[in-house]
Amino acid sequence: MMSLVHDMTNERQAIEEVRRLNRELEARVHERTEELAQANADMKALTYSISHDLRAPVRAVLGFGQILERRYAQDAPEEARTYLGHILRAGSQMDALIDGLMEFGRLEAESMNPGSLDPHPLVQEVIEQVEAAHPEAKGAIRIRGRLPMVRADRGALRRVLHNLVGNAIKYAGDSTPEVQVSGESNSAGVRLRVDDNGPGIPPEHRERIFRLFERMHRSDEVPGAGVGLAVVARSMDYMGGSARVEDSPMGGASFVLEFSGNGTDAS
Amino acid sequence: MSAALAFTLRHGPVDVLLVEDNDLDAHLARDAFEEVLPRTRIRTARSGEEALEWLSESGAELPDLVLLDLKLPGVSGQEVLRQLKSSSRCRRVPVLVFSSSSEVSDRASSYDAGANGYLIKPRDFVGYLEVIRAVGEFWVGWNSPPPVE
Repeated sequence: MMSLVHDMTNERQAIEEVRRLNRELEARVHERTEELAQANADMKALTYSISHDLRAPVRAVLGFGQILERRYAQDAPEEARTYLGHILRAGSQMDALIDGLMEFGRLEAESMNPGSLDPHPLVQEVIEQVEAAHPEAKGAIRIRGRLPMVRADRGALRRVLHNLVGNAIKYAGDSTPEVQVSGESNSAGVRLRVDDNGPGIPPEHRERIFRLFERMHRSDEVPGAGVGLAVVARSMDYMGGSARVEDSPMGGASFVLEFSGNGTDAS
Repeated sequence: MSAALAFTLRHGPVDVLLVEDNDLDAHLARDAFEEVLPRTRIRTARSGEEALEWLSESGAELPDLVLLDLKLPGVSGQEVLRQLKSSSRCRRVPVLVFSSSSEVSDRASSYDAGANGYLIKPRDFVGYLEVIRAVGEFWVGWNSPPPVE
């Protein structure tokens, strides 16, 4: 009898201990969530402030540089014109970096609303936009087959596809660009691919190119800020998916977008 | 009577009040006006307080147009806008917000406060020329035909 009472006391203590630990855990999760929300808000405010405060001096560099160019460059010595060109190019590069910083800083997990989406018309829209920006790429981008439904936020997926298809044209090198968008769906999930026949991405660079401001080319070779792929990775992450790059059977890079769920989930 | 029509009838120089604390931005705007609309008289207020003080002087002639930066030290651009639009004397003066912010919230709150337009500061001088030309054509009536007799 004594043993039974003792066991029940132990059990009650154990249950109480589990409850106490649960309460502690909940409080800790709540605290961490609040800290994370605060860190996100701080980061957003910082990005906003940096972007706006940096914009003013860059505007002055570009603005007054252009005034010099318009009014005085014709009569200036060759060396002065060269230096002025350097100043204007560096200013434009800084401007592009600020654009990138603002685009990256604006990405927010909360504002994304992933749902079941047919990516086909979205890809066609992106192809039209990229062809309008790069007339030399007219007819170079095609969709293979019917793309599967995906679970994604429309605006975020448009941005992701625009970056990948645009990059495939921008970094085509000397070859005539060929870009293919395809998709597949199986029990493991849904996947979209953007393949190209460009120079490809060497294995040692395949992780770092998705980080902010990482580039494989010098800015005087191919203009850019090293933001596009960071936006791709962050957007996919916020949608519960992921992005990676591998070798393409077309000879260049194959950017693979993995989506959560099977794309037709109601949830 | 709109500022554009008033100008067309009057055919005098146009008065613009530029509310801008950044000297270099103000310089770019003035240079662009000089190149595109050389008959414009520009007065620059370097703070919201200075702009409100000038506009509230009873004897002072009101400008045909106000170009207003949002991020000002002291009284903010939004506050200047609210005060102008609630003043019986100044509310008819067109106020164009001229800001580096492309945030939807800044745009929405400016229109809520009574802005007549929202212009994003260009990134270079060529952009300033385009914006000032558009301001002149639409808001100042610089290119309007003379009134038919």
